[in-house]
Amino acid sequence: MKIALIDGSPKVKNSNSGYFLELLKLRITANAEFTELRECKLKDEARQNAINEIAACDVMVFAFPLYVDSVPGNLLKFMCELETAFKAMPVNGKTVYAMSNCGFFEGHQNYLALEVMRNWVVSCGLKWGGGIGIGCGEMLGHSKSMPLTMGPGRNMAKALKTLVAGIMAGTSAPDIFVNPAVPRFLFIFMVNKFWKFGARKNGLKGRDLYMR
Amino acid sequence: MQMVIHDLEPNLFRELFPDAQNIYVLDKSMNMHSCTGCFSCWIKTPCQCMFNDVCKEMGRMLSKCSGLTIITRGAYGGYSYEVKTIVDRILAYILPFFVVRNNELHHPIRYENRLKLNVHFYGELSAAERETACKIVNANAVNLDTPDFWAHFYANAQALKGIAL
Repeated sequence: MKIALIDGSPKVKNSNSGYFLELLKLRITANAEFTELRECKLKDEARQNAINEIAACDVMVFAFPLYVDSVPGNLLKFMCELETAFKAMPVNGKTVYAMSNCGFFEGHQNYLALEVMRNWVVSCGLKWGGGIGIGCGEMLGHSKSMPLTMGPGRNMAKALKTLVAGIMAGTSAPDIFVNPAVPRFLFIFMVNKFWKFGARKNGLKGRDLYMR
Repeated sequence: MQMVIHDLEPNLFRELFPDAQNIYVLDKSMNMHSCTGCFSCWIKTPCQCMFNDVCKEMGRMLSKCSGLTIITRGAYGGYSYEVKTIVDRILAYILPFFVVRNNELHHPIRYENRLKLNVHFYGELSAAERETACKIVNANAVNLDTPDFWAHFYANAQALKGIAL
C-alpha cells in the first residue's frame, strides 16, 4: 500500500500537523510505502514531482491547521493543483483521510474544514475515508515528551487508532472530534499563561498584548 | 469604510464596480504572503504582521471598517485559495485570549467595531458545497463576533454587477 502523508501547515518549522502525521505513521503496521511531503516547501519542479508521487499513491492523509474555520489558503491551492491531476487520470479506489487541528479546545470546531476536504474528494472522484478534528493542537504539539496515551493527548490516541484501522483495512468511517483530556477551565488558564509567557520572552508586558 | 477581498481580475472588478469608493480592496494581484502561524501579531509585534506587504496592518485596517465584503469563486464549499490566503491574515484583528460564545471557545475582538460580513460566492456549487459555504460564513461571523452576516450565490462573476459593496 502506497501512502502519501501531506503536511499542509504553512509553518516553516515545528509543525503540529507534521507531528500528528508522524504519530499516525508510527501506528501503521501494515506493509506500507510512505511518501512524505511538506506543501510549504514544494516549489517549481519539486511541486509537480510531488503531485505525480501523490497521484501514484493508494491513500492520501492530509494534516493541516484550522485557519478561519477552514483549510489554509496554501493547502487549498495545492488541492486545486491535485484536482487537475486527478481529473486527468483514473482514480478508482484512491482514499483520502484528513486530520485538522485547531487552537480551540473543541475538536468539533474543525468540522467545516473536514467538510471542505470531503467536497474536494467528491470533486476529484476520490473516496473519503474519514477525518479527525483535533482540539488544542498546539498544546498536544508541546506535550511530545509525554506518552500520547497518558497525557492530554489520550483522546487523540484513541482517535488515531480508529483512523489507522480504517487506513489499513481500506474502509471509511465517520469523522471523529477530540478534545484534550484536560478540563476546559484549566486549558484556558494554561493558554493565557502561555501567551503572556511568550510576550515576556519578546520583551513585552501582558498589557502590551492588547495594543491597538 | 468597507474592506473588500476578492479574487476577480482587477480589470473585471473595476468593470463590475466602476463607482466603488471608500473601500480598502485586497486582491490576488497584490501577492500577499500566506500566514505562517508564527503568532508575531499576537506576542511579538501585537496587531502587526511580520510580513511587509499590504496585509501588515490588516487588523488596524479592519478596525476602521464597518463591513467586510468577500467576493469569491466557490471552492469545495469554501473560499477560493486566492481569497482564503488573504482572509487567513486577519489574526491581528483578534486577541490571543479566549471567550465563550455558543458554549465554545473563541477569541475576543481586539477593537470596538463589529463588521457586517457579506460573502458573495460565484460559480457552480453543488448542493453540498452551498450548504458548507453557508455554514462557513456563519462560523466566520461567530468568530468575528457579528450577528450581521449574509451569504449570496451567483451563477458567474458577471452576475455580481450592481451588488452593493
